[in-house]
Amino acid sequence: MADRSPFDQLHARATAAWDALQSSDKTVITVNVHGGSLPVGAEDIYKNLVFLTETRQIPAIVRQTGSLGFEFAETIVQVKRPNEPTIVYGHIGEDEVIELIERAVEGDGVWAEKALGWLEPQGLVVEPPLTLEQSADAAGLEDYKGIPPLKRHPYLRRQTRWLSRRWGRIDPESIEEYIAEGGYQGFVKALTEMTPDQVIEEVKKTNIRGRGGAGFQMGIKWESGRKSRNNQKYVICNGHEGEPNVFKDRRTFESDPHVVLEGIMIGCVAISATVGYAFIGGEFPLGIKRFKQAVKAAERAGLLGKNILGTGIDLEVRVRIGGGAYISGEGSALIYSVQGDRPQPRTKPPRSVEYGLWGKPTVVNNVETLANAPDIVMRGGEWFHAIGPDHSTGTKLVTIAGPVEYTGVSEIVMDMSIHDLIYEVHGGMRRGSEFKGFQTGGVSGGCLPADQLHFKVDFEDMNGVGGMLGSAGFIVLDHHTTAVEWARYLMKFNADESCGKCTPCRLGCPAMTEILDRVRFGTGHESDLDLINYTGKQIIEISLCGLGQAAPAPILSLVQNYRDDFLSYIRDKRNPATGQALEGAADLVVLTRGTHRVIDDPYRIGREAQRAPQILPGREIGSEETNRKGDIGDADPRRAAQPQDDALLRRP
Amino acid sequence: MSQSTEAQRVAPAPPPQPAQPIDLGWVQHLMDEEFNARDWREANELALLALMEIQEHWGYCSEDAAAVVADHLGIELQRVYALLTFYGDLRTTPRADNVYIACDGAACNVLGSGQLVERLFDRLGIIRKGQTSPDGKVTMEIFSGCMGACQIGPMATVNGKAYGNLTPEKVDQIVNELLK
Ligand SMILES: Cc1cc2nc3c(=O)[nH]c(=O)nc-3n(C[C@H](O)[C@H](O)[C@H](O)COP(=O)(O)O)c2cc1C
Ligand code: SF4
Ligand code: FES
Repeated sequence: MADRSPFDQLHARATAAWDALQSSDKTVITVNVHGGSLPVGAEDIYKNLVFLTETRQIPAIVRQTGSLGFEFAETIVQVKRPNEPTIVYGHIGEDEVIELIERAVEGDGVWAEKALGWLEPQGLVVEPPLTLEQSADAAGLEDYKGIPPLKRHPYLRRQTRWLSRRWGRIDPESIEEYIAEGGYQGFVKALTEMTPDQVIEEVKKTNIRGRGGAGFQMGIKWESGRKSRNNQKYVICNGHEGEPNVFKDRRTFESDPHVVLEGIMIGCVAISATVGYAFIGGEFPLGIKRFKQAVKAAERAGLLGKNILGTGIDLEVRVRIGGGAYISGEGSALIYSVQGDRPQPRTKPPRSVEYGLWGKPTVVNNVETLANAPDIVMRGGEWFHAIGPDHSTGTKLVTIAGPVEYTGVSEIVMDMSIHDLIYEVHGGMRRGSEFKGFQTGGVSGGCLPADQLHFKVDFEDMNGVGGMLGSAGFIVLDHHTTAVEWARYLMKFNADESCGKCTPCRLGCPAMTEILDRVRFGTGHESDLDLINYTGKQIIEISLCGLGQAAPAPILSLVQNYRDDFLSYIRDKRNPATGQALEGAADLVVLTRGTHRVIDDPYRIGREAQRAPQILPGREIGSEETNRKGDIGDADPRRAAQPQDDALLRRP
Repeated sequence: MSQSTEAQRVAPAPPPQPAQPIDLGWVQHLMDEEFNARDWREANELALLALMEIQEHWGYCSEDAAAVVADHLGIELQRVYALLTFYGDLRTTPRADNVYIACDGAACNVLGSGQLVERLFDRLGIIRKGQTSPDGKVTMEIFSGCMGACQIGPMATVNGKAYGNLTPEKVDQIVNELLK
């Protein structure tokens, strides 16, 4: 017999404790401790605050929370004095704790220079699709003691905080605070009041698309998971996030782990799986720690385990850790990784919803996708569908890296143009930087120049010009970076991360890296640009998985959009950003990885490039003149000296 | 670039010095305590976690330790080796006392970490990430994900401490300190 009273009691207790904290007669000092503030000393600040409030006998509660999304202003400390609103202070250094105590906690309690804004008791939450500024206007928020409301901070004005509404507010290590803020209601509702088919019906109504990269409809995936008949099914939460510029999933684990857990649990209920997995990248120890704690706490609260709330349903969630291979984020490779095999993708079909973990039907979803599930269950599919355009419903967490003013995780309704995202949310380019390009889709999308910024940040709009949303990790390039250097960086990343299972990607990506290296060191030819196109298209066409199929795409778009940069390297032998003459190819043999390849055109040329440093007649490798002045491009490859150190030519 | 650094670069890095070998009794104890599989599926699933745990404690995971893992979980040794040799995070040899981890994530790269990495390679006399300098003092790792502190990029962690807004001069300073 389903009985939700144990949960309701827990909810009542948690709410009472949470209210007591809000109206406490002590000062509440909250430190944002997460992966982005730990490197700048958040842990020290926390410990120091605990120490100082104790030794100075200040009546205060010092607590931790996750990220507010303000990575650029870390470390952030929030101070709430009794009967006053919370004031958020940014840029607190490790050595400024005493000053913080003296100015923000004691005295008149306002440290104006460091204040980012003041916060209402309900925090940064707004009903989408409204923006934070609209909600501040509606509520008529005014300055408090000369400090503006945080909702009017230039970084937040155009944002919508919904999925991240508990970030930087609740203690991620406390299940009670999550429950007090409405947590686990969705799970309990799905468990006790709805049938699995109703849950899937609601999810299908939302039109929500996967946030992990491919943008596949979540409802359809869940429905096929539900329909496959098997005695055992699984849900896996893909929290690997190995791309070099995205950290939204990591921050979700660190700031609100329970919402991910609840999403996994709802997924399990919907497809009738009894075991869910969370696969987390090994690079984020704090996220792993907090998520493991969340699972333990949910078990203790009776929300995981056997016969949950008397419904007869059993549920278990296991945590698995990745080992630092980008490819283990790919759906099928992820499953192999969980199974303890090498994470190498396989051909599809069968898709994982038919044949997944241990051969059983398995639904693989991204962290952010699953984190939306509780709200969908609570509010219904139509509510969700109404947010944003029809093909891209819901809010989206976005990270922008590079020389912009405000770096961090922002949340927007997917109706905003790229231009507004850069200039009105992330504050535009830093001083001394000129905009050059906008890299979409992490390491897999095109790079858009300035005249294409009117496209919208959603799943459809920029596809026509080679852009893609991917996991919504974007990179802004400035005039210090040349297209060649950037192309080489992306290609090298993919070449390193290629799993080596299929030939076009295993050999093609290093070959493209070598071509780009040749250009980069001033030994390229104009025909190399055609060669890049030719090789790239081949790799895209015949690779097995998404890595190989996407790896050359940014390079092709860079060659197309920034041809001048490439020509400057090739014709004038000059770095267009610095104007310096190129130094020659002295390092080439060291920086590229020689492989044995003799077959096709691109590969043969790759081999010559590999020998380029040795081919100067009558000179020794590595002598100073050779490196600097040698006119290497025209030398005769047949007179190449043999490489001296074979070890260098072996694959690492 | 002077003749001598060039000579250093081309010379293969010497094998890292034998550090403290992993205490296999400790590994066995860890396995007994924390890695008890309920079925063969779970045994396979736990292998990677066990290797990571060993590395977390000892800084690397040797083949001998992997053999204990395989033995305890009752799975084939080659399956464990397959993991040990595939994942970028797992090392079979110990690092030097000083570990310099340069972030080469996209944001740091755009802000100039590529040059810094090449400079470091020069200074340390190594040619590939994960190598230890010839004098055995510094191991250099490149992290191609994001270390999570892009706001202070380009950044690096040296022996666990983060250094931000790096310039070639700052890097030189750090390396001088480490090589002293
Ligand atoms: C090379 C490669 C890497 C990927 N890495 C990730 C990742 O780190 N996280 C993720 O959620 N999805 C990643 N994906 C996408 C997954 O294959 C899959 O589409 C996704 O997890 C499905 O979840 P969704 O439907 O919720 O988006 C990657 C795909 C490829 C081809
Ligand atoms: S495309 Fe690359 S990563 Fe994908 S299976 Fe082939 S070799 Fe592996
Ligand atoms: S890319 Fe280096 S810290 Fe984010």
